[in-house]
Amino acid sequence: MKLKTYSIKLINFYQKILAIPISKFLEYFGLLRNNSCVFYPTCSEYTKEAIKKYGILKGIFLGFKRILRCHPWQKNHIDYLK
Amino acid sequence: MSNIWNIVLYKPLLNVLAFLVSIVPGGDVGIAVIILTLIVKFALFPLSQRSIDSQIKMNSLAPELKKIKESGASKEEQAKQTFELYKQNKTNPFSGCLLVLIQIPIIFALYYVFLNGINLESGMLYSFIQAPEKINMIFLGILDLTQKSLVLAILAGISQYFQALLMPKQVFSEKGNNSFQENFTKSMQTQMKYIFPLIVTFFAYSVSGAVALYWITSNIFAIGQQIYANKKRKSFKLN
Repeated sequence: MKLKTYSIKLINFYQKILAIPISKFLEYFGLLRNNSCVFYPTCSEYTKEAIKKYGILKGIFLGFKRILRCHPWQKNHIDYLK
Repeated sequence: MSNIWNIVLYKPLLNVLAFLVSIVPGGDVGIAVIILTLIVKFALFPLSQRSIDSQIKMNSLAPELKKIKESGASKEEQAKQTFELYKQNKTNPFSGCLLVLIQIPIIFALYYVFLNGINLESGMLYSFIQAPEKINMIFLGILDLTQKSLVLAILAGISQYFQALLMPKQVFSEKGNNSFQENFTKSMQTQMKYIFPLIVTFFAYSVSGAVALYWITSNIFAIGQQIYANKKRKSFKLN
């Protein structure tokens, strides 16, 4: 139970503080060009919801699967947690 | 994991380097480093060029994106409108984690080849690759690549500065958006401009001349690529 709240807090911290600096860093060194997300909601938001709904293990697994779907040929941009 | 990495990335790149050293006049490792860097950069060119092109297109859509942002619609509605706008303009964010996940291992492997494999110990070479007869570590007869090189490190920093200078700037909305994130991003962008090249210089100096040479080459390649993309955009606008 505690682990669940901690992981959600960690994601919140990532969203508020780390996300933009990391993307800027990747952009600076030419690894990432477009700052716009492929998906709505973002992967971190998606994972947060998934952890709330399915618990930590399955939540992280679903979030991981979502990240693998984030590629240039993705056509379904609006992708909610099921 | 490290085995896969060795077989798929590190060893092939190291062998190409050995092959290049054996065909380059005088066995100049520096020239081989430059050629290998260019080969890898050209291999990744289709991916990086498409994302640069789509970034340029996105920037031209900035006024409309701003309108959507300021429309006051719900976040979901905004996202729908944004993706609809991309569709109408036949663009797609050519982006995604996959691009990063593909490029990072390749770039790191190249880095490790120049860091550890530069001496080309024969144990790592394939049977059909002959160990170069002459290995000359003195780049162009002046700079010893196995040693720290201040000249190459400073050049790495300078090329990094110009590479960043050429990158298209992100457009910010002006109206009342003083969110912490936006301010932070703005100040970070200004600071990155000067601090990152310095960090690159220190890093390149503390590692080795070979890595610095790799860094300079890849920056010059990136600068050329950006100029090429900008030219393409101009001709695109004229039509």
